[in-house]
Amino acid sequence: MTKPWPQPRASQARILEYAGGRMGVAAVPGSGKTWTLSLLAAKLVRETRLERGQQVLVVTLVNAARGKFEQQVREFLGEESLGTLYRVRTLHGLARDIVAERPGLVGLADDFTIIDEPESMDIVGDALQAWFSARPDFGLEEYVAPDHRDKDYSLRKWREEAQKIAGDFIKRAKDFRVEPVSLRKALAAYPRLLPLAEMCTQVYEAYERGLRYRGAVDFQDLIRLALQALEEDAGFLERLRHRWPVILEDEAQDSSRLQEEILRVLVGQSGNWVRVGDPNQAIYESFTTASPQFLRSFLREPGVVARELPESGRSAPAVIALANRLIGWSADHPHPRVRARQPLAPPEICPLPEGNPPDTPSGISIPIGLKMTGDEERRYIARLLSEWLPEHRDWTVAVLVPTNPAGAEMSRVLREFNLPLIEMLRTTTSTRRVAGTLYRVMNSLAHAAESGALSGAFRVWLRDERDDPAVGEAVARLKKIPRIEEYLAPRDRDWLLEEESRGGLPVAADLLREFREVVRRWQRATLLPVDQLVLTLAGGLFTAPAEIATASSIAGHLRSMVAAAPETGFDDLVAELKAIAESKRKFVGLGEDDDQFDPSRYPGQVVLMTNHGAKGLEWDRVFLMSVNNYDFPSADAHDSYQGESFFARERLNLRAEGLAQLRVLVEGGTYRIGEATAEARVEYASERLRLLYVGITRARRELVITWNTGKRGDLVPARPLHALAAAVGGREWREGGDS
Amino acid sequence: MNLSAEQQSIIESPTGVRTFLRGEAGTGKTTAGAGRLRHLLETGVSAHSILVLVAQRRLADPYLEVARDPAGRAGAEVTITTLGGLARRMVGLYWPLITNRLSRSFPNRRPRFLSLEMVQYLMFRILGPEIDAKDYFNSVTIDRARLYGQIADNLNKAAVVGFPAESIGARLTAAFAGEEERRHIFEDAQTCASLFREYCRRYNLLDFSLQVELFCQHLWKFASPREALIGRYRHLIVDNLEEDTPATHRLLSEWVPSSQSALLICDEEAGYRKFLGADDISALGLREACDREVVFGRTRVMTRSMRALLAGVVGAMSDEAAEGGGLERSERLRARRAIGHTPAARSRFHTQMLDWVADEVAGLVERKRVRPERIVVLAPILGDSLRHSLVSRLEQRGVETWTLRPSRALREEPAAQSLMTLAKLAHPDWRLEARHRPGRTDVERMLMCVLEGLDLTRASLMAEVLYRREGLQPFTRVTNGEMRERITEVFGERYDRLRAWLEAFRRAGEAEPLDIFLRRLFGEVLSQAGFGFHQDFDAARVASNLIDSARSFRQSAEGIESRFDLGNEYARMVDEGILADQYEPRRQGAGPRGVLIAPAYTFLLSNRAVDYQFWLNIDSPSWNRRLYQPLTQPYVLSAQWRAGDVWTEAHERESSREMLARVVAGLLRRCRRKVYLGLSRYDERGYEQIGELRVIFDYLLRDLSPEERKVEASPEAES
Repeated sequence: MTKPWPQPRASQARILEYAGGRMGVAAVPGSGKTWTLSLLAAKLVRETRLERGQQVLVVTLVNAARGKFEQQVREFLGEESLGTLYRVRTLHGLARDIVAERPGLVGLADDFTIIDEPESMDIVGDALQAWFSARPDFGLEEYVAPDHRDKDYSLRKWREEAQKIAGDFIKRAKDFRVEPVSLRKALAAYPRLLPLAEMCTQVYEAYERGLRYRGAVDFQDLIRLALQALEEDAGFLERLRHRWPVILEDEAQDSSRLQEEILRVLVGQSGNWVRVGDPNQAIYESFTTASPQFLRSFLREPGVVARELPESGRSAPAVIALANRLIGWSADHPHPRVRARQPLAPPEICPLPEGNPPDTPSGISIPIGLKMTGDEERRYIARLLSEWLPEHRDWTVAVLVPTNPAGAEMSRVLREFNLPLIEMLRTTTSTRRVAGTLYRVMNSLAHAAESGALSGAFRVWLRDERDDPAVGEAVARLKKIPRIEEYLAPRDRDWLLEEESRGGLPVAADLLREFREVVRRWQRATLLPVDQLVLTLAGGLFTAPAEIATASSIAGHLRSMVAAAPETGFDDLVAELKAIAESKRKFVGLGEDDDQFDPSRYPGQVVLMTNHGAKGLEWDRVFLMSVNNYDFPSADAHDSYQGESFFARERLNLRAEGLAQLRVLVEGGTYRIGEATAEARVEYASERLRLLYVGITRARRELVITWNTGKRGDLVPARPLHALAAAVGGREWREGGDS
Repeated sequence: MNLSAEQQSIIESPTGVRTFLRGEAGTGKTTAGAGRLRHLLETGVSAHSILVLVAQRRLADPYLEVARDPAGRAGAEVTITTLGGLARRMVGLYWPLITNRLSRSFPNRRPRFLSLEMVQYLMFRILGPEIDAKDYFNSVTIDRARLYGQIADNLNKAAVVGFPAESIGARLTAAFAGEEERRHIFEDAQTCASLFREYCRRYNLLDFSLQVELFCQHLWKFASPREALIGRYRHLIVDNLEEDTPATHRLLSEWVPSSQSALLICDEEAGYRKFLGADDISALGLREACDREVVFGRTRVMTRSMRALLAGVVGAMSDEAAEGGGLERSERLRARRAIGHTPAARSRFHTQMLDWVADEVAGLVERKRVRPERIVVLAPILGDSLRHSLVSRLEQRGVETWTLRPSRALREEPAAQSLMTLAKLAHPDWRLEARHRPGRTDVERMLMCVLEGLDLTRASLMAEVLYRREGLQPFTRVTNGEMRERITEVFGERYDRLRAWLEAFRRAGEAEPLDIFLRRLFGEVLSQAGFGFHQDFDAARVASNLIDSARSFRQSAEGIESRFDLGNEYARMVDEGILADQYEPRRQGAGPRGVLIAPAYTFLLSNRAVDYQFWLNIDSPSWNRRLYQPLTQPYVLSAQWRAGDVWTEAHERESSREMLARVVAGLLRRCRRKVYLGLSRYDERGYEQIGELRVIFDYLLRDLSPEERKVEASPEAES
């Protein structure tokens, strides 16, 4: 059954009037942009007479948003037809589709694989090792401070940094679409030595060979190759343009140069394109070519209808006022170069006429006067939570930290305080759960005679029904089976029958009988190649597409391990799964996640995640930690920067310097050492300001912002924090005094 | 069998008549062809003088059945072969006539025929280092086994299509529309093909391409071999001409006019082996060589509903089609009755779709009493996991199945792996590098595979207790009573029999070739009662293919390479994934009982019709997309390609549409009652796809009301 269209607000209705051409929408946090765009997609599907094979294409940046979209469009449309009239993809998913449709166009075989970030960094690491073993003293003079040149620790860090420099360099080179061979020529032509570019170009060559050898591409390649395919074959492009007569794009502020280019090419001169985004929430600028300026300039392009979605019903007026204060502060940023970049810009957030969540007495707290070390800050927040939580069992609450390592430390303290914790750090829980589940099952197959391993597999098989008494009984009994084979493959004696007949299994007999069948199937599947085994197991263990997709990526990863080293044993594969499950190794699936993390499912529990991870989510109460001049610098002379290594000469940001060397090779100009480091500070300061804005706008009703003095005790509150504290009447903090 | 008058007239046509018979699938052409063979034999024509030529061995089944009919006359045998078979035989007999085409260094040395294994192996040895040293193919992403496969494929295409092997690179380059800097890969492909060709010539080694080239372009031009062939085979029956290559067609165009009788059979709207050089257009050229042309137009398979469905699908696929495939409403409703599809509630996940398929199949078998062999489950690509998941679901519901699958790496076949593990255990003298030596898991899996009924738990216990670095230890020496009891005497005794056999082999110390070792192991132990291959049809087939592969590897290698231990080298090749299970299954009789699970193409080339078809994963792009091979291009390397043209998107789209149309029509023409479409929003890997087939069916059904579209309410198509 199809539901009647829901009632949009006036600003939303103006967007829903869209009938064709180009439209750009600047939205604010909580303005319902995804909802509006879904409704627009449904409306276009229903009201446009699409030809056979035509679809309304919706593109999002990240998987998490995709599922929400899909679900909403489906709800608006109802289940009609075989569902061929709209399509929701992430940009990477779209690129993959394009490449996979004509892999031959871009030199790929049909079954090309996509390697993830860690594997890609492994290849870079191997190539660098070769580089350094031929030139052990490389870069010391140019890039390492004299007092660090003979310190083993510093030298090790320099080599680790070199891996990141090369990784960034390769990614950016791919974004520029330059091949190693052209770089090699440009290097030869450049009048002076560019040591970082020299090193990175050689690594880039080896890296590309490594990919070819594996029959694989990386994430950057997907985008680059998709664009190449579109450019190379006009007919192919024409076909795709016909297939997608309208493209709707969400989170447009985070699209990189190349990603935007793909959509631009797909849309063509006269196509239909709606881009929705919030430039104030662009938080992926550093080390990518994404920039909020792209969306802003799009809004100003001739022929583009510019619209705004300025109303937001998410937050209490006090929170909105604070966020708007930050926009205002940004316009007067003390650093002229940051100011010129307009890190944050109007529209400001307007509350809804019909009302937002009301302000509460304890609404916003910015105890800027509290000068705390990192540990004191963590304990301070844990104490606040211990007091607050018992009285707010039905509220949602999040603690947002700037980085994963900071999160890990916070997690330790929250556990120490016995607070109910949902930790969302590093990998998503979904990836960990998938790897963990597969690990338990594969482990039971690797140790097929061990009852402990079997009960572990049983637990994950019925992971959602842990509270069922039958499950408890079954686990307890499984752990103690003396001879597993008499349960799983009985010959003379059947353990299950014997136990049952003597009344030893009052509730679990049926469950154990079912499990036995399942394990038998698993056992038979061990004869399959490992990727097929994993896919087979996944089919029975998971139902969410994201989980299946993650399992499939894991399957591909294990297969490539075996292909690269045929001697890899089953035990090695099980160990690898365990490492992924324990997050020792980050693992990114390209699966389509429609199981977005939903904070409202965890009232009364503390969700711990990074500011970046929190984008798109909201909680009743939010704690923003570590808002100091290291995590949120303002390009002041006394700020210190994450990108600037302690061992580096003159506090150079070597990753930025590497990219600058690349830029002169590609775009021309002259490289001057140190310029890129200075520019990176400005860029970083701008982005972190937006990150602070994202953090603030996660709060619905209450917000606590704190800071700490850092490892060396010399950090101060982030500059904007003063302005925010003043806005809510907080006390000033001054160096040298507590208040 | 009820034969139609038109079939009878083909079967009984008098000698002296050469007939070109064409028609769509399911019109009874092959039945007429096989009937013709029977008729010739029954009317006293000498089997010696009959040649049945087919494009691939599997297509020969109906003819083999007639030729092997125990009621037939004893004596000479009908020759049933392929062009490759014929070429090999002729080159083997007449090579002295063409020594100038062979090695200059060894003009008097008998040429050696290379098996597929040997071609892969030699490329691995000869081209591998060259590619590394010169950094060839640096702009393509492809694994080595497939790279060699495509180089070999290009050479084969040159031979069967009939263009010089030196022009492969130029042809591919000229048609390539992509980036300038990627063109050099075709030069690299040419260089590698030429290098390999040169190596073969130098040592008088004949791969498939050289065999065909020497036979068709040289030997056939000599009077004596040609006359010997024409003189012997006076009666020709050629089936599935459209699946054969221009080389065959050219040969026949000169041969047929001199034959005493000929029946050339050609399927319309087929040509499924295009990627191997098949050419349905040049096949039609053979009409000129015949005295008459007969067209079979009436389907002997499809019901009226199926016919309506076919018309609707064809309509919905054409560019001009209106919604509903251009069918009248009543016809559309009729077509609807021949379609079933996964209901929305069960079409979210891949596994739900599989459950639905298994339920429907079981329902047909149990409730409707449909014989399992009248049902086929088809997928565009049939991976291990899909096959395993489906087979276990059907087994659980008590439905028997069997599978047909094209080639894949031998190392991925558990049966082949187990045999190789045993071979390694029996040959300590191979001195394998550590990474090729069997590990505990290999032994565990091997035991599970070769000891019938052994479960993983006991296999794991056995591997732990009985496998040591120096080899397998006897079960009789296990003194721990509990362990003996757990493993059980039954398995212990079987294991000891296997071990004793291996031990005896080791002790004998005879340098027996690997294939002979495997054959004996299979025959004397593994195929016996109590061992895994006793009743496992698929495993036995793989074992037999492995033995064939090892044998042809040895035969090809003997005399080429004497420096290395062949068995050891073969084992290494299997481990590296270079060698594939390339042999077509040899079917006995009408095939095993049970529901057939197969890739769609394999089914299309198996010459049979069924009552019910299940199409899995209809959203997979593989239904309508050729396999992309960066170093080769079946269309550009075909006889129909116009030199100088560039392969564009329009070609791509046209070929894809044509391919889908042929597959869909081919399948529907082989289906009597109903087609079930397996839909799932997410595929096996969790990707969401919307395929062309779904779009077409959606288009066909779009205007029907929800009631009319409903699956549950749809009555079974009429007979």
